[in-house]
Amino acid sequence: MKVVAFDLWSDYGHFRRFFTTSSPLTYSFPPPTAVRGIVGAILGKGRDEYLLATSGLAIGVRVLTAVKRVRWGQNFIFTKGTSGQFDPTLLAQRKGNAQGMVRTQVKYEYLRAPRFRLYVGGNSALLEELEALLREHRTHYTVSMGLSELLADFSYVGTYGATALPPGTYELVSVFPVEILDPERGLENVLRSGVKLAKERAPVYLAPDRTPLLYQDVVLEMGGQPVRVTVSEKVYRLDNGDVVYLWPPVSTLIPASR
Amino acid sequence: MSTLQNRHEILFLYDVSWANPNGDPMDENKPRIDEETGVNIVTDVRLKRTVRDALMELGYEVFLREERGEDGSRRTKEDIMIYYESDPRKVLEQCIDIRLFGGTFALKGDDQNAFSLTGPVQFKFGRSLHRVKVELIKGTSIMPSAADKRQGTFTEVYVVPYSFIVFYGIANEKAAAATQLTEEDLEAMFKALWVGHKAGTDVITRSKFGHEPRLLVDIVYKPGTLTHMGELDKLVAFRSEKNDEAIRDISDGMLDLSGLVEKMAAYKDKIEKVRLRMDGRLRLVPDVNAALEVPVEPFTWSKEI
Repeated sequence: MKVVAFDLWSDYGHFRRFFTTSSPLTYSFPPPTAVRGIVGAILGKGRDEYLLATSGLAIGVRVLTAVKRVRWGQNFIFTKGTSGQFDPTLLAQRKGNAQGMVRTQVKYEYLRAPRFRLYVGGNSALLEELEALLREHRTHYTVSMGLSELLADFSYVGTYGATALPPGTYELVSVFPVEILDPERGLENVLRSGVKLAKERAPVYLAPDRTPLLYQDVVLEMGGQPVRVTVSEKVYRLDNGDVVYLWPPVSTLIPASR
Repeated sequence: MSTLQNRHEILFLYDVSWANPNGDPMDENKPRIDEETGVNIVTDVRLKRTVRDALMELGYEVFLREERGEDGSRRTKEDIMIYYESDPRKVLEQCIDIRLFGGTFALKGDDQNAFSLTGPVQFKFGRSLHRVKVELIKGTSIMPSAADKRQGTFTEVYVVPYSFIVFYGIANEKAAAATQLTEEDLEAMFKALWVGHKAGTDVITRSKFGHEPRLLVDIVYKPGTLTHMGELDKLVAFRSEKNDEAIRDISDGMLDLSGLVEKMAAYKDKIEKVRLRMDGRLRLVPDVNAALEVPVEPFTWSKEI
């Protein structure tokens, strides 16, 4: 399989955790669903097309710098009126209640100076197109780190051949789902001083109508270091020696009838 | 009118003296500071608010507008309710801010209920080019009270003595098709950016007084190149002999654009032209007009202001 790798960075990032509403918390990394969106933006696939367009691609994510977070309050428009409808206006009478609240303060959590390496695998023509665009720093839509205002920059890293590896003990550079770990000896070799593992439950696949199809506990090293783990499912070795976990294309896991 | 055909990359710098560029409402309205670096942060929504208010003063229809008066009932906007709730295309036709920055709204009789558009123009959070100091100013204020009673109270406001802020943004031609954004709209936004920071009603409240636009750069790419340089805000620097926290005025240093000029030389084949507006008190190195290898033009509104 061919894998295209590129780096993505910005001043701030926000990938909202699915269970937070009014106090938005962020994942420490872009979940595969967000990576599809980013790839879609580069390829010029709109909001309604990218999920389908990228469904045949395998996705991997590597954390390149230690995960840091900041929180601050933001003034937002209170979007609920007495009509029960969503109405983002500051005109009090439009809310049906002149005394009603027009603003609300929300404490937002952001990633600070995040930097990731994203791996996109597959054999489709889409991948060639992606590589060509990345090489020349071209993009159809503006690329952001989760939210539209968090403009991100990106650079092409390389295109590699990827060989599937059998179950075994490997130094993984990317994030991975907990379920690929060997149930007995998965984390046996990982523990040494300085390694800080975190587990975050993230959506992995979305249906074209954005219904989540699968959530997984994803493991990452908070300092961005590789971790030595024993896996019972396949991982990939790239030509440059890096071992990464790639989420398989949507179609291989989710039946088309769903 | 056709929609935007070129990608634009925008760099906007302004400074603030003895005012609060952007308070955090959940932190005593203190100016936002990156605790790690001491750099002052301004959110993109603050900038967009200024643009919207300036656009309104310039006579444009704006969807997200500030309410005025005690209960906001001064404006007779029954008509607007009818326009907006009947057809979102009308909103796009009439409201320049939605064409620029996008929006999400309710649609009556539609099960989906949320109609949402990503704005073609996006700004990153702004940040100061140097570490800033935050000062707490204390004072007294008089409150109205019963006759023959003197009633006073103490007030506290946080300000920054000086902050030279850079904003970086992109206008995307592909997203412009979805919101029907035109060249004229974008030109109006540039004008609003400049006049909004110079004289907008919004920035002459006490907490915002003392804003001055210093430099506006619009890099226009050739149609179809699909590229932009990215992170222009990282390519400019403010060089001063003073300590960061001791900077008090634009004349305390020089704006170094050499990083930008260098990067633009590498992209010169893809750039159609550059438009510049500069404040007379800003000192630039190098001399941009001489150093840039692409055509430099003034904005169409340059003479009016």
